[in-house]
Amino acid sequence: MTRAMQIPPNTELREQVNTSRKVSFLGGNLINNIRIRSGGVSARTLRGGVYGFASDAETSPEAVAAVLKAAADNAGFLDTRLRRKVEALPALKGAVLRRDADKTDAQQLEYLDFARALDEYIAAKYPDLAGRSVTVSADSMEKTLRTDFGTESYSLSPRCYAYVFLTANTADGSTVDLYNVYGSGGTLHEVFALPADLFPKIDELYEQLRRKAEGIYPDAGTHTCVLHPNLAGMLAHEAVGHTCEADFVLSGSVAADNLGKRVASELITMVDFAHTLPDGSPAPLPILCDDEGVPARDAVLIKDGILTGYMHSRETARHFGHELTGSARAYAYSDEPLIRMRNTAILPGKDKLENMIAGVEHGYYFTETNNGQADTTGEFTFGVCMGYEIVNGKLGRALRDTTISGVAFDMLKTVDMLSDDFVWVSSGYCGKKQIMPVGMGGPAVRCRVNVGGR
Amino acid sequence: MQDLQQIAQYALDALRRAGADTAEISVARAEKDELTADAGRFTLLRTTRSGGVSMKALLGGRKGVSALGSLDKDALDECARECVESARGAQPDDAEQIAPLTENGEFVSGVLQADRAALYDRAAEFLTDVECEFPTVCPEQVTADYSRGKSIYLNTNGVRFAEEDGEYGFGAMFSAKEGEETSSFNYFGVTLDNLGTRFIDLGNHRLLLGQSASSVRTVPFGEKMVGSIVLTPECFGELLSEALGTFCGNSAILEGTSPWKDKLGTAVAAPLLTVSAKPFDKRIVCGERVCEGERSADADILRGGILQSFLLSRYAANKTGHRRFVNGGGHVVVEGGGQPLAHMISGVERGLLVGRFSGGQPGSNGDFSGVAKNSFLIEGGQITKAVSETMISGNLQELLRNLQALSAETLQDGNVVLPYALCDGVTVS
Repeated sequence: MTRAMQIPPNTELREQVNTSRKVSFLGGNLINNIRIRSGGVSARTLRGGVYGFASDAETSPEAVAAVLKAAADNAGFLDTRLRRKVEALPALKGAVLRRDADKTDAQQLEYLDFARALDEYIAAKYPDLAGRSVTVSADSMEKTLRTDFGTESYSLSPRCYAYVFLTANTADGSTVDLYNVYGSGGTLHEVFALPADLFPKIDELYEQLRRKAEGIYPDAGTHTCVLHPNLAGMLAHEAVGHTCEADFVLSGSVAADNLGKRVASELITMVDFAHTLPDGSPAPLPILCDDEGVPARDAVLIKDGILTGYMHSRETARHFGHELTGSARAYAYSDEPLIRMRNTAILPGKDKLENMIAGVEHGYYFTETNNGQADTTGEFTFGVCMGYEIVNGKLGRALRDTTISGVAFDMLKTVDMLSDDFVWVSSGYCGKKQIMPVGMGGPAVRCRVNVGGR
Repeated sequence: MQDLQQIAQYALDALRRAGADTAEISVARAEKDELTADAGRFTLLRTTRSGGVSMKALLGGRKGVSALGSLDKDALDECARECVESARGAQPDDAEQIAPLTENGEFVSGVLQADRAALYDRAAEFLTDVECEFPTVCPEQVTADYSRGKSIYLNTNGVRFAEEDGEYGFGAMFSAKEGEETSSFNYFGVTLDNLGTRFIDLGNHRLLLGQSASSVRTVPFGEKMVGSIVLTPECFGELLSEALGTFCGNSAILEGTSPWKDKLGTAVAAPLLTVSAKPFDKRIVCGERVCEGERSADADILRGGILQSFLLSRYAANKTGHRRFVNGGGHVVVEGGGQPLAHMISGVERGLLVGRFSGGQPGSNGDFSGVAKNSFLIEGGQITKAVSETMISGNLQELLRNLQALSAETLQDGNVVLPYALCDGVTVS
């Protein structure tokens, strides 16, 4: 629909459709059986250093024309009041960028059958559970973008995941919970073959839960800990990544005063990958072009412990005089592009996990996290829902839920070992005014962190 | 088709044509103007127009749900077919029902005409006020918006509700910076039906901005203790919401994992605590008027510490035999207590004023642990210094049982009414 429209100067025009499916069984009851489709068109116009944006769910030629006009009017509204007289952004060379994916989504019935099979397996094999829920969900974003400087991009990005939540009774009359997520980018058919393929993983989850039910609370305080790769990705994203988003830098994040300075052990190199990993394989959630029409490139945030760069929009790249990274993305058609991470990771080291644990006299091995938050100060907080104590270099009792925290650029200086393996996680959404699918990854990390306890 | 009533009727008929035994739909149109300022400077004016429908179809107790972000006739037909097709694959469940016909209604609330220029002026005034009064504070992101929407609910039992509302919203995320030192970020948000008051004078805005300015330099809490903390209304609301979700929500009651599952009519919290959900309260702006096809109503969740009701949907209520809750459970109102905040704090020899909780999702048993953000040391009955890297942990059930006092002062931000809360038995480390 938008191809026929002339794009005015300093303007982007985007047509987008987001779809999602969710099937959930809670204790055997089907509580969600939902499909959502939401789409429309939006335009953004820059005038005098301020943006006007408009969107409409309708995509008729008349609606597109109205959206273009409203965006220009909105920019005019602010420009008239502010009169900043800021020059237009430097012109970019237009490009045609396209990332296709399988558009053939499975039928809702297949999602239902898949989720039901997982639920029935759990119900039959583990009747002693206090609670269980299974969710199979999928989402996709399909975007077509055109800019005034001639870039045309198309992308389709599907993801599909199965979430399994288990609850067990404890001897003291309480309950403990544990969950895991299985899946990756792609459609249901691409990601999962048979439900039975997940049964061994569910068995492993149950075993972890059983140990957690007999678990202990950690000692509150600062400890030497080994973070499983599942947490390292969260560390990369929350603790460092957000502070290196250039809009946060402009607002005074701790990264503002540390560019070119040592912020981590020399073992640490951290990259926000755009679309391709060093071995040539695709990143978990590849981005070829951002929603400003900028070709996406990797942003090296930390190199050998030195803070080397930020993630940028066109505007912040001009402000700092840095190269473009193509990091401005919007979640829905009605959202404006914001600086967002793509696939943020700590690169692996050379150590073996067992050696990392063996060197800890008294500490903890944290294996699963259920959320994470970051602060302008660089202080981070992760909810930890699975872990083990380490006593004299060996894993001991399992842990109940706890929280770990630290100040990123202090904590990263304490890293003395990184494992040679690596895990990507891509099921989550990052929250920053809008939600956004992101990938995060890393190796196991040994460091000093604050641990909550009783 | 432009008329919302026509579209709603068409969508309901489409579900019938597709084979639904019974069905319900909600059709809505919305418009929003939003001003954004980043790092203290205006950057964006955004206008969005949206329309959409959500559909629920039942076939012999089998449920399908679809939602569509369009009011296009062909798209509605396809959405209805998919919804019914989804239902065909589901398992039958007699607990799946739609609202019975008890009454129909139309509601209009809030402000239905935006004053965009006045909204801009208020937002600009706020940025100037912050710069003048709190020069070390950086408003990282400020948004000021006006939203207006119309919606119609119909179902095959003959229920019809129409709602129209409009409201202003204002929110800010901010931190303070001196040299290379930065405070933790904090934020606030309000919902308004007029622009008569400077934004800095609303809610606890000036107080929170001042706290941010005085939090650039922090001290560690010191020796671990189990003792008293004072939760700000914002933080109390956050933990209360977690507790209600964990102990009273659909999932917890359906699964039977809630420790309160057998506690209706019994004491689960300190006698001083009454928690209500009041969408019709005069201090709430544009509270929900319709919930699951029935007129909403104000209701208590806890009264004098006694559990009055779970927060159950129609499905969860039918499934468990408990009463359905009569609103969506938002718009929490906890009336203030008898003593001023200063008096409450004066009784704390060593403790913590907790402004924000940043931590893991509490487990089904209510255990929580996390970092106390935007928090201050209480020493000798006085608020003294800002703290950093301070963990708090405990259990939400115990927290509510160990409530010692609620302040006379309350936060009223158009969405909730909440006091400060003095709690005992929390581990601070």
